[in-house]
Amino acid sequence: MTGVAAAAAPVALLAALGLTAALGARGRRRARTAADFLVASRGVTPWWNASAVSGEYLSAAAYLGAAGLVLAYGADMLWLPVAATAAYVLLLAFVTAPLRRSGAYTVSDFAEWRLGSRAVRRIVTGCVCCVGWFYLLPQFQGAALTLRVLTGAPGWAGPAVVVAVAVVLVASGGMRSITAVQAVQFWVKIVAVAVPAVALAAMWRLDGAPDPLDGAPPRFEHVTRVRVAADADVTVPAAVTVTARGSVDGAPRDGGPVPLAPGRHRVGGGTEIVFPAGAAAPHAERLPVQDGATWSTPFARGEEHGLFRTYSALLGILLGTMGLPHTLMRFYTSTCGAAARRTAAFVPVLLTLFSVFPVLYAALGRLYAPELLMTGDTDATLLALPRSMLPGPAGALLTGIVAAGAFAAFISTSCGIVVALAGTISQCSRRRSGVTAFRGGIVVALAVPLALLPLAGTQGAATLVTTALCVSACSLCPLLVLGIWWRGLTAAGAAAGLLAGGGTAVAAGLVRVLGGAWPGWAGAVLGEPAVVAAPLAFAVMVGVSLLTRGRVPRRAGRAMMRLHLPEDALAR
Amino acid sequence: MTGDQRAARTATAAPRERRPSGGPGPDPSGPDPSGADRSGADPDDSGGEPPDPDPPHPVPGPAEARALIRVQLGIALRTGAVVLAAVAGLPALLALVPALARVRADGVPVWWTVLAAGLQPLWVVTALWQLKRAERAERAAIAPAVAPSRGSAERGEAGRR
Repeated sequence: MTGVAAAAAPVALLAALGLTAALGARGRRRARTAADFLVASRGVTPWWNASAVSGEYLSAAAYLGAAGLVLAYGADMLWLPVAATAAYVLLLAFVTAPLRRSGAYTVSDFAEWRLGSRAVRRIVTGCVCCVGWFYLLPQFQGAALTLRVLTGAPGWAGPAVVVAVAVVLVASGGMRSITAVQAVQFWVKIVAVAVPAVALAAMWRLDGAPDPLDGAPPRFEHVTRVRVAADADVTVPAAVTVTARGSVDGAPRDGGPVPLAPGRHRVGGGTEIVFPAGAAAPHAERLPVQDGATWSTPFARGEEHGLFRTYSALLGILLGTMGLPHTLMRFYTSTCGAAARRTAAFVPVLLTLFSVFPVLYAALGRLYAPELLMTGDTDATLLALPRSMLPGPAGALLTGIVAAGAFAAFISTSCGIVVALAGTISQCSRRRSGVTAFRGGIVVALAVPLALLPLAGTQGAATLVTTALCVSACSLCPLLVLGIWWRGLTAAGAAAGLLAGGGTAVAAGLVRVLGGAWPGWAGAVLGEPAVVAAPLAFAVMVGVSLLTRGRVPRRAGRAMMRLHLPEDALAR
Repeated sequence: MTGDQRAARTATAAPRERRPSGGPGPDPSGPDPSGADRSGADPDDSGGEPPDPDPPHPVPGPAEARALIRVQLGIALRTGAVVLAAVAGLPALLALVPALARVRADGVPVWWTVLAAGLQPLWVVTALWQLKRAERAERAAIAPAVAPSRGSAERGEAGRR
């Protein structure tokens, strides 16, 4: 069975690549001028553009990570997709139409145009890069996980594929092909997640519809063989006798029975353990062991500072989405401010279509794929379920469909970020021609996260994306919101706020990604700094602007008119 | 409007615009969604009084632009208040009243269902409401003489495309 699934993965990858290449080639024939190259000549209709924006939202984090988080932590994680959709409502209300009317291609352009300061522009570019790099990390990680789980490929294979495709696609086709790729891939991802979901739900009914929310911690339905990739500490919830080949608790095992008492055990890398049917599944050390009622009830885990962490994560997502450089650049491809606003209004509709599926997969994963809780690969829930519930070719087919959607997710999000970063970076260099600088920007955009990838450890995709969102919430969001709605913002105020908020968030993000967890309040604030750092950024921006109120840019009044009046009112 | 007229309007508007702002202005993070009482806070602003001696003229001047900004900010803040009320209120409610969080209907945890599927339609409705309000405010600002008609924005947009 593993062989069939391993065959399904390359086929799925080839399908995703073939689609991408076909759409990219179509766009490439059209992309003739530099304007085409960068902004698709602004001829993208609201629904098509909304599909592209939603396609970018369905990254590794939303596609794989959301289901994994819900499977691992339960109802507390249901807040995150809720906030992600709500964030697009705030984006619509506060940012889209004015930003489009500013005519700025990137957030850096907006900052320079609005505040007339190249220094602020450089700081904004730094913030954009940090957000993009944090956002690319989970895409690479998700690709590595997908290929490893399905085929046993080494960890560098997934990122290598994504980087290669992104480079070819972005460098050759520019934004037009990316818009087409993103929009089509949104629908590909919806189908890729929905078709297996319907099939698996039907299987669940045939299985007698067991209740995933009731009863004890997850159990293995059947005799289950689990292979542990690297040394791991696991929590065994109930006494069980297993057979193991490899190393358990430091002693070598050769396939004989091993009694495991409740509590913590160390399993060596490469060990294979066979669990009897009905055994309670061990959990990776960092994951909580929860019964069904705890799992399905918000705040029932009694997590330390649970409400604070939830609020901070929600605030980071709500505000961070407003400053995501690749999403904002999408709106630049709309014809006018009103079209950009319509685009943003349609996005929640499309995201709602997707939102039910991660929860469904998480609930089924609790019943049929509890070994993921032991290996800690909860991001692989979507990939593991079809094989576990439907052995044979049907399961392999569904696995292939899910994997194709997953690759579409990595590729589309990575391309979107690379376009945004390369566009932002290339505009810093004045000497080279536009397209050459853009290609140089692509290299910088991809090199940094690739270098960080080996250090990033075992963070889930969704954790890494919330880190990126937090940086954006604490730097770019205050700049955009105050720049759009408050005439009194000065360059000094913006720079101070960006450095204070963005610096705090980047530092906390690095500690979180590279370091471990800290205890107590320090750990809670470092883990989710948005509730502290975002108000700090707003306060510093407003405070310093008021102190330097004599230096409000002369263009502020006219800039505000241009931001808020429809284009045809100014052109008449 | 001729180029000279526009130049003259810009010239009269410039001193107002260039003066450093007397107050903090509209604070988007502030709790007040109305925006109506800010005209009092800003001494430069003459409230709803049109500075244009030629009122039926279709092009909005700086004062009308400011009025539009204030209206749009009010709409955006109201949308933001709805989002924040839901996103801040629900976690507090469920964390502080654990008994409520455990409620089940027919064996299904109520809040599980609400969080998984119940809130998304609220965002869709809020987004469409925000879109409608913002477009209406814009139409009213560009063409105060013409009675706002629902289809005009679509037609205008299609024409531009």
